[in-house]
Amino acid sequence: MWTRKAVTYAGFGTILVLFAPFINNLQLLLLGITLLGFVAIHSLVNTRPVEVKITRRFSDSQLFEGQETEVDLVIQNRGRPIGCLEVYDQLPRELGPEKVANHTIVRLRRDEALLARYRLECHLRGQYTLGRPRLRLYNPSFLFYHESEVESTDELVVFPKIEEIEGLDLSSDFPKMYQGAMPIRRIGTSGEFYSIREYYPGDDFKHINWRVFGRTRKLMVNQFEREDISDVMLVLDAREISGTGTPVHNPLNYSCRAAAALTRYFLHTRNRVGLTIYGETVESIGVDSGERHLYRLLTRLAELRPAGSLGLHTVIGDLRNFTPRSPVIVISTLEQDRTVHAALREITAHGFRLTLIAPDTLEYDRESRIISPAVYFTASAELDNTIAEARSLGARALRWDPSSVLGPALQEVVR
Amino acid sequence: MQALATAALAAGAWLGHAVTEAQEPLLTQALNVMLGWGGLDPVFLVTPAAVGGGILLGALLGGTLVYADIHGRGPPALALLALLPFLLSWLSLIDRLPVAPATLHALANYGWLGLPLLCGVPGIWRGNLPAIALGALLLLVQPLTLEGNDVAALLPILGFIFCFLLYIELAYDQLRYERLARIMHHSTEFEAVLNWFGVMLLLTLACTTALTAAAFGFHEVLGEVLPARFRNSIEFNTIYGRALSAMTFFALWAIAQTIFSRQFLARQVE
Repeated sequence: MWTRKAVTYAGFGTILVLFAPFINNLQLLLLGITLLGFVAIHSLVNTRPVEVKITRRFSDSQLFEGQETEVDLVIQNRGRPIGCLEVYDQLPRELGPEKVANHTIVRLRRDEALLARYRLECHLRGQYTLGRPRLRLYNPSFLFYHESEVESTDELVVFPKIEEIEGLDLSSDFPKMYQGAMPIRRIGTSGEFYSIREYYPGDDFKHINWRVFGRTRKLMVNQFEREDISDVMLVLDAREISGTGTPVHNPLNYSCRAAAALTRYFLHTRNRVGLTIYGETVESIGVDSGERHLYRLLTRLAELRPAGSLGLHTVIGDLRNFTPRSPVIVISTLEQDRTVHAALREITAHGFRLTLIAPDTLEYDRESRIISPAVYFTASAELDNTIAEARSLGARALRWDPSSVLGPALQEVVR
Repeated sequence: MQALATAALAAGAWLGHAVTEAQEPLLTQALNVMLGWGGLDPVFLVTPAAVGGGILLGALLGGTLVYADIHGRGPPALALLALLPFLLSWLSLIDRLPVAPATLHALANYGWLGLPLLCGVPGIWRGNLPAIALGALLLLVQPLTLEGNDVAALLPILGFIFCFLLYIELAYDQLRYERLARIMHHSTEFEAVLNWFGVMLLLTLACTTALTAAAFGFHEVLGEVLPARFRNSIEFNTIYGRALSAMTFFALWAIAQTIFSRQFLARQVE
């Protein structure tokens, strides 16, 4: 391809050659010929296509929002020597290419391999495709260039940021048959102290609280919490409205973070967790346990995009198959969902232990002038009413300000 | 690179006038005629001493502009420089300036002859492409004469062409490589790329010289090939014939390059 400089040189050279005879000027004629000759010579230098292979290596295979990773671009020349090669690694807009140095210029000798390294800031969860790298080959005086793309794409999954949650008691009244680790606020045999009571013949001597006996001269025994597996179902609102706001500050992102934190907490305490997502369709991932299941759920949360307008009532059908009286945690903005009241009533009527988390970005939206004050007050009042109604149904409902930490906020409503 | 471009610009300005040393350039004549219309003496005169003085003054004023621009005072300095000739002329006309008119006339002459450097130097050192282009244009048109020139002044012509190309190339590529240096601030490859550029520029200039000689000599080849009535025609044996021969040479070059290009050959194979 010709650059503007080459076109100017060739045009100017031709004009000089054609114009010089009219003023009988050998100087201009020779200058014109020289300019044309310069362009002609440069059309042969460093403009042939190149054979370059580019591969990527990431410093971290698993990434979470807010983390950085180093990307190593291995540029390998498999053909002729290259004097000046621009390499531009195409990145998705969300990965902040305005700051990263994904653009480099190298000189490559025959069969030489070079390493170009840049840091990538992952601000937003998602499944991203990096590449294909774009190559631009200039000749030394920038008269011609050759552009091409290299077939080299890599997938990068950025998981939602996970907050540490500790000691959260989302107890179930319904233990499952198999032993597990979730405290269900029943007397049992775990290490967690529950209460003390009087000794009855037949009680195990090792449970006698000797300190109380020394003080009161009465035999008392310690009682412990019983631990059982509990199935926890997370219901996530991924409607289009949940994506309202900026790409980073929107309810869906915060919902995904909350869901990721809860998923990891429950799975690490050896419970089983399922995920139901509603929005454009209703998608259910059945309850399961283990690291592989955590990875599966996090991957789904990473690639989740806001779409559709299905209401909460659409998940009721799927919940009917779920273990009765188990904890159900609904994470939803509750906005513009006419079915939410009926759905909440039906969930509690089925005996599920309902916890409702409503990520509230209304304040941020108002301050950023995304919504008007009138819309803010209407939406805020509507949200308060829905939360109050959920509480009246016996649910633990939380209007969660995403700038605050989820764990303590949940502890407040659980208490 | 910048120092070399400045030197090439100064040498080009000198050689441009050296090509036409015995003749009065067109633009200088035009300026003198305009002064004559205002009832003033013709003050613009091209002599080797005046050209030397002009180059020095142009470099000095261009350097001052660069210095002012570095310190954020480019526009006021430029405005002052543009107004200064008018102010001095006015003061001189009303006899309020304690400087002899002859000195002022010489200064005006130097200023005019140093104009390519006044434009080119800030262009080179401050990375301003329009200023570089204006400098090149002035370098080319300022010494133009109505009588033209021929092989009698071949050496200064070749020197001028070499300096002109060196100035344009180094000044423009300085701009481009500055951008590359910004991109490559984290890389150790920049030195290698810059060395490659320097070597390739010298090599391509040498090849260009050979190609220019070939294109110029192609006229003789055509003379041998063409029928006698073309070969002996008046048009063919003047500079017009040379120009057309050169154009024919490059047309043949373009055709050959297209035919032997990889893409063209690949299409034939398909």
